Amino acid sequence: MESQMEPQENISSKNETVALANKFITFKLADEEYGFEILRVREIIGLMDITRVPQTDPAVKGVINLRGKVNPVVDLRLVFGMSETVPTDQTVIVIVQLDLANQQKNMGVLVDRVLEVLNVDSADIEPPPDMGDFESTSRDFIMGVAKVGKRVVFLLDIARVLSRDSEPIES
Amino acid sequence: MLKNMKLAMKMGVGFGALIIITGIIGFMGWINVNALDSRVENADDANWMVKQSQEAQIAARNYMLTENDDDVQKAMALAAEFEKRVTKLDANLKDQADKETTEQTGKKMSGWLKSFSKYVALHHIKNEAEKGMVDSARAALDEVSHLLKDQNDKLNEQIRKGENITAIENRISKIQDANSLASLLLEARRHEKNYVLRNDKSYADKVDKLVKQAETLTKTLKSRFVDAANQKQADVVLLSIAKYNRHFDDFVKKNIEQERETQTMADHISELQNSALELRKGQKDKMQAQMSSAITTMIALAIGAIILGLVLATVISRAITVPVTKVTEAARLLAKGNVKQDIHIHQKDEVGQLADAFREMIQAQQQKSRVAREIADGNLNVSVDVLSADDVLGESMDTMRRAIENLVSDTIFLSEAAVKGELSTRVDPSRHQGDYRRIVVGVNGTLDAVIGPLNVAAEYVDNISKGTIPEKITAQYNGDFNKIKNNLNQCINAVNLLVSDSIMLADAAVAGKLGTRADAQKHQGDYRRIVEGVNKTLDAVIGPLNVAAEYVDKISKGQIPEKITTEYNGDFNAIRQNLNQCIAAINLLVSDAATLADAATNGKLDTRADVTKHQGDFGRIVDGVNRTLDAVIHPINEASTVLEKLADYDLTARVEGEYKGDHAKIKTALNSTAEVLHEAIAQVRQAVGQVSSAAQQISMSSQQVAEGASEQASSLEETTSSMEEMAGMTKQNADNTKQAQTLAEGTREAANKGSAEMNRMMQSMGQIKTAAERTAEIIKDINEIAFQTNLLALNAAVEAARAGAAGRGFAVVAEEVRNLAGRAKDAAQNTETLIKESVSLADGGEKISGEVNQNLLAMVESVEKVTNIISEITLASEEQARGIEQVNKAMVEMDTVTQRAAANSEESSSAAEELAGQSEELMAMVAKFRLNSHGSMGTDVPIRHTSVPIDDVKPKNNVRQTGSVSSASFAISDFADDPDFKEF
Repeated sequence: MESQMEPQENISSKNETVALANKFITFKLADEEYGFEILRVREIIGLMDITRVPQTDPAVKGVINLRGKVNPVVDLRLVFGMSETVPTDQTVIVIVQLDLANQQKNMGVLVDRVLEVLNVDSADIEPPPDMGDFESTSRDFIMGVAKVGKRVVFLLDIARVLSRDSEPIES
Repeated sequence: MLKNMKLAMKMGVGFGALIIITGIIGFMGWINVNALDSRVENADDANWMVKQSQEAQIAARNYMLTENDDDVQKAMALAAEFEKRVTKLDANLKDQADKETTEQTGKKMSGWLKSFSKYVALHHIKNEAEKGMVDSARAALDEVSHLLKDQNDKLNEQIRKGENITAIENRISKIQDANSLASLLLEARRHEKNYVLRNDKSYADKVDKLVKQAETLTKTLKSRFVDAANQKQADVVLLSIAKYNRHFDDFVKKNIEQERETQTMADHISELQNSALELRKGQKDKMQAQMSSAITTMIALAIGAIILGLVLATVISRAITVPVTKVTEAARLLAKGNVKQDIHIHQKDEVGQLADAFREMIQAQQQKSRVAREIADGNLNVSVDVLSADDVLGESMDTMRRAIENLVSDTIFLSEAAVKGELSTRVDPSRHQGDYRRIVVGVNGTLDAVIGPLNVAAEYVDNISKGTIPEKITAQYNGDFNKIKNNLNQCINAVNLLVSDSIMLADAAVAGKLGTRADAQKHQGDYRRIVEGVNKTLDAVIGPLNVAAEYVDKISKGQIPEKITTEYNGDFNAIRQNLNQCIAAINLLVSDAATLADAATNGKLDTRADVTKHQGDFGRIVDGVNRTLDAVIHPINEASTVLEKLADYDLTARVEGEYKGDHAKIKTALNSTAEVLHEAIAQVRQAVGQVSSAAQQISMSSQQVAEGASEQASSLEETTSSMEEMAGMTKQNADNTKQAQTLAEGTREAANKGSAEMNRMMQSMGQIKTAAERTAEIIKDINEIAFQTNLLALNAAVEAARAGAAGRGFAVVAEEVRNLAGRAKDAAQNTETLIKESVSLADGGEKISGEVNQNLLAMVESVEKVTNIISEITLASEEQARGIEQVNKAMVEMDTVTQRAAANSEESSSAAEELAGQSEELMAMVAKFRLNSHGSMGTDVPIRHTSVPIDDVKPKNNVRQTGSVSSASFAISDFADDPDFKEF
């Protein structure tokens, strides 16, 4: 809420390319803020009935029927090793558009709360923090860390998050 | 040889042998136990070795897991201690096989220690290799990322410059290769970590493969680079990868070596433990064998010792008991008197010496018995041999022989003296002892018995001839001695009879029994003639004496005889004249007595006889009669005087003289009569006084009663008025309670109304709450709408972003919509808060109104209770009024009674006054009598008039007391002539 005015300023002050490259949709998982490229977003919808699918990873909540198209839904909290999402009136599903093997595919992501469309200056983005020996391969999906005011937003490579076992597609 | 040994020696030999055998057994036992002890120690050491080696291994494992250097120190210390102890144990062991086993364990331990040291060293090398690996990998990655950045920058540059697509594609492929290189390196690291953690060789192989791929890729990349700086970067990457590869290979090698060492350590330890267990088992087996052999030896030795002991005991005891039995038999025979025997024992030990001594003793006994027989046969000249100073038997036999010799010589001396008539000759018994002395004393006694009676007879005859008649001989003698005694006693009897008759006659004459004579028949011979002469002399004296006695007898009986006229001679005539004179004197006395008696009969008490006419005691008789008359007349005179005084009211008069007998009785009777009279009058006086004072008191009390009654009457009046007041108050009370009841009713109605209002209010509150809840639902709808709007706005923003520059305006609109949605949500939230507040307030109001309603209901209840209480009070007040009326009635009755009591008390007061007047009169009467001052003081009670006030009693009391006494004395003189009084 407090940064509501920022994106407008950013939009008006930066040139188009940068603005395009640095627009992120942000959301909350537990107490942390995350974000990914806005161009990956297909749609944001409220929570609706999810049909469970047998024999799938626990992080996969099931599938939804969105205007005649069946989309799988993943609980991002479970993916990140947090506790399972407890549905509230703020819970939403973000439909992500993935380009897998030159083929487009939509996938729903369950988040606690969607925040805003955020413009970030590339100077405010830092590479993922070096944790030294505690480094883990599972943190490869963090592209960087955005500094917004006093807050910190983890910028995710959502494609990598949703296809962890496959090789990265692009740099 | 055994025969000639001393007893102590025999015993010593026997016991010595036993002690030596016991010592041998003990020594054997000690040796065996020592051997066992060392075995136990060895087995203990073997156990310890197992334990110690296990601890060392545990310490080593701990190090492998935790890499703590302290564990290395501990393992080393344990191993060092182990080796030290093994060396010590090795020195202790004797068996060659055991020694070898122990040495083997020592060697294993040192081998283990070596392996462990090597392991530790390898570990350090491995650590360093790991560090190198991390460093070089990081360096390679850093360089790759630099390269990537550089390439990206260049790509941007090219895009900006708008270079041809081939160049750009070339650049992109380079970037892709660099990316692949980075991920290859990262993958290699991941596998490396897996290898370190899981120790699986397949991971190492994967690392190798990846590293090789990376090297190839780097080389390819390098060849494609044109820029020297980029080539140099690729070189650095290559160098780092090579370094990494070297370190990793080193690490893998050391790791394999380390595993080998670990295996070696485990082998060493298990072998070591096996050896130690084997050693322990060997020690245990040996120990058991030693124990069983030791037990066998001990049993054999013990049995040998017992057999040897039995043999020695039998031999030694036989050597002592056989000769001792023989000597005992000989001693027993000797005790029974058998001296003709011999002992056949010839030994040199203590038993042999005993036998020799017995033999000597038997010889001495034989000699002594021969001498005794000689003495018994009368041969006193035999000599007795005294064997030593302590030979008591010999000395005694010699003494016996000499005593018998003395006795024989004394007997001969006595018999010779008796033949010569020297009867007083005796033998001295002190020269003899015991029964010998008794024989000599017996002979002396026999001589004394013969000579005693002869001497007594001679002494008696001598006494009789001298006139001293002795007592009869009472001693008993035998035979001829008794005849002599009887003759002597007869002579004594005859002389004694004569003497007693003479004495009897003399005594009778002295006693005046002149008729007494002695019986001459009792005597014989010349003794009889003496008695007859004495009797005749007595008959001549007694005749004249009898006449005189007859006259005197008559005079004494009052029959005065005529004068004696017969003539007597000598002294007998003087007796006759005296008798005549006596008769004349008595006749004169009789005539005087008759004269006095006649006068008394006629009341002439003054008549007296003439004393001078009589002589001696006759004169005294007449004088006595005169005085008797005087004594009889005096008390009668005093009694008449006293009676006269009593008649004069003087009750103090008494008979004062001292009289005896009947006169005393008269005096007592008279005095007690007066006393009783005095007492009675005094009591009367006292009673009168008391009656008077009682009357006074009655009068006073009556007055008080009258006053009390009037007081009571007035207080009754007061009480009555108070009661009336009370009745008024009670009535007022009842009125008040009625008012209160009315008020309470009003209160109850008001409270009921309040309660109904409250109920209505509560309903309204409930309605407010329901409305609020409905509003909350509407707000939820609004929230929902705001949320959906927000989503729509976001979606619009997304779409705007997709549209790029074309969507910029749309993005602004979307943002505005989103803001509106946010504001709608805020407003809904505010409203919700307000609604919630109002609902909670409504809740509170409902609760409070419920409580108020409760209170109102409680109030209604209390008011009802109050009403009830008030009606009860009203009832009570009415009852009270009734009670007061009854009390009033009772008061009126009480008043009547009080009036009556006042009247009665006045009557009794006047009666008491009357009584006082009468008692005063009585007092005046009694006062006439004169009484003892003592009695009047104690009993006198003041007499006063009833009209005298109580306050005046005391001052007048004294005056009246003195006055009453004086008036009493006057009264006696005044009433002296009163005829009534005289009668009294």
